[in-house]
Amino acid sequence: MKGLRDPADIVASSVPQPWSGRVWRCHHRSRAALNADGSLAGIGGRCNAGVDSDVKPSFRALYTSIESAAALLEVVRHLGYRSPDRRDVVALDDIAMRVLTQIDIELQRIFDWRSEPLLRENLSHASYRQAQQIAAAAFNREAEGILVPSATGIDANLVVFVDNLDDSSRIAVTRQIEDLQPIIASVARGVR
Amino acid sequence: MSVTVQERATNEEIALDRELAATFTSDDASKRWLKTANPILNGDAPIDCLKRREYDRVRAALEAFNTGVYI
Repeated sequence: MKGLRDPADIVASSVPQPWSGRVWRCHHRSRAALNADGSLAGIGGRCNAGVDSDVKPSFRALYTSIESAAALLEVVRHLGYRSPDRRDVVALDDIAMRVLTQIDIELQRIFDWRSEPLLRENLSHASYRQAQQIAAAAFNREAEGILVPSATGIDANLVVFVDNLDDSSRIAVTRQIEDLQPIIASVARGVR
Repeated sequence: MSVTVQERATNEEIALDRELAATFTSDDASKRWLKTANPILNGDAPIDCLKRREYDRVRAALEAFNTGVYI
């Protein structure tokens, strides 16, 4: 932890900025693409506090990735696939019921913490408490989202705090991909 | 007519089985998810929660998986 900043320092010294672009989500095809309700379950996700988290209050987050491959690999972590060797994913038929959704996003206030050492270091932690504390502090400063490193090592994730969205911000589904085999193949080849 | 604890547990298990079948296309995948330690469950594996009859927790973790929550 030497040289790492305190979560309160990170938030206090960060300046919110606008962000726009296209992101991806991988979810079950029966679920709405912009449904963030599942993030309140249990302890919550890596960057939001669920109902059972020590971090209060709980708040919803829509998890997205800049790269489609990252969105896919983030989700298969639920199945225990956390190896840096992405060839593991080739054998997966576990994601057959899933869809990749591309989303157009325009936000007014996000914190860009893609290079934040504390968040990078936290990716290997079993506990999400610190990452959730940082995310909660951003949520409490009315940020609409945070850009954070992806546990997959591929680019970054945009975590959207759906309850903080400004009236002028925009989130819209642009397309959905049901046949994930080409993306799985590209992940296996190391192509993004 | 009241429902016994055993009947309620059986009904919960049947409902969860249906949700697992709707989520995964193979038993292997379903078993893998059930046996994997899940941060959303504070590090417990869903199978351990089932042994304690914590059906709501398991359903919540499954919903987090289905809605694409990152762990």
